[in-house]
Amino acid sequence: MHADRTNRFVLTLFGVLVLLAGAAAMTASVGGFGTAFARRALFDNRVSAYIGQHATWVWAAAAFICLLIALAAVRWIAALLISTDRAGDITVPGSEDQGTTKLQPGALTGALTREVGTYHGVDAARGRVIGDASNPEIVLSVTAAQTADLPALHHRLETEALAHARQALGDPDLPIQLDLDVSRRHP
Amino acid sequence: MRLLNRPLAFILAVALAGAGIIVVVEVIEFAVHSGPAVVHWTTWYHWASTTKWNAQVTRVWSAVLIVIGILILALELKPRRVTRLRLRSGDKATDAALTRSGLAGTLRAAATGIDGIRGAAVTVRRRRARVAAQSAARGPAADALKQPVAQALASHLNELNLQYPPRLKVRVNARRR
Repeated sequence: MHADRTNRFVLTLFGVLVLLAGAAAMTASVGGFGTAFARRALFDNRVSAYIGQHATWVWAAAAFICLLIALAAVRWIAALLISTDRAGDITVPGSEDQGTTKLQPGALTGALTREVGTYHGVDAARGRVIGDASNPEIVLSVTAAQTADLPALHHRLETEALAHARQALGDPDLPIQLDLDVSRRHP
Repeated sequence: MRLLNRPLAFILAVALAGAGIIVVVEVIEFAVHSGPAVVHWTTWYHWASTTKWNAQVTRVWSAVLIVIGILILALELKPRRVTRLRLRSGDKATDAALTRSGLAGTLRAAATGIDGIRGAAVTVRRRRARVAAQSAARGPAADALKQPVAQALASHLNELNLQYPPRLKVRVNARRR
């Protein structure tokens, strides 16, 4: 899910704000801002006084900011619940005079995993295409048998299967993430 | 970590959306009718106007905020567990890696492939891989296996072509009975 970075950033920001608010309140409470301040009521300060004097525009601005925050939060919820990082149909580059060729990500990963599945020492292979359809990235997970020659398999995957995928999309610099795993099953 | 972040993020997002909408509604309601609509905030206003900074309740809530903040930051800033160890690749566009469990599996297979070793437990961390091999022999014969096992595993690890290979620590345990 591509909301993971957003989750981490917003949660970190929230953690910092909560910690700062708690630390500032505790400092005020134990007299860090002066004993006179510690004896005052929570709303007996300059900021509260300013808000009280300019209530009309301050609360209007606060409402506007809260509306923006609420809209951003709704978008975040939508990203958490319904969005996916999978790419849509990929346009294969070529002459537009002869029409446009669209490639379904499933067709590409299917061909790729079928090819990889025939390699010696491969137990299983899974693939998916992520990112934007105009700038896709392939994620290929290969599970090798325990007895497999991993360096040889890695070399073969890079020089054959991944090269074929790049050739199919006409992009020699197509980013590919290759995850090699080893099967738990004994041969 | 990511699995825990998602429900936390969802709770925070729902809370932010709810709180934002309530503030908007309350501001509009106050401007029109001068009273609370959804949340009885006048009680909170009165509480904050009468409660002092040095009150016990303020300290308790401050401590609660500090603890929550520290917990969230500890959770978010904790280094991620290594799940993949990058392999040297001939192509810049290829991000190849061996999974942590994959490395453990191949080291285990390499260890048990050595004559005299009947099993191995492997733990792989960010910078260290520990192999506890179980010898089929007892006593000095098991001790004599340590060097060949360590050499074989080091050679196997080297052949994998990892970008940052973990340090290997090998122990050979003698058979007990």
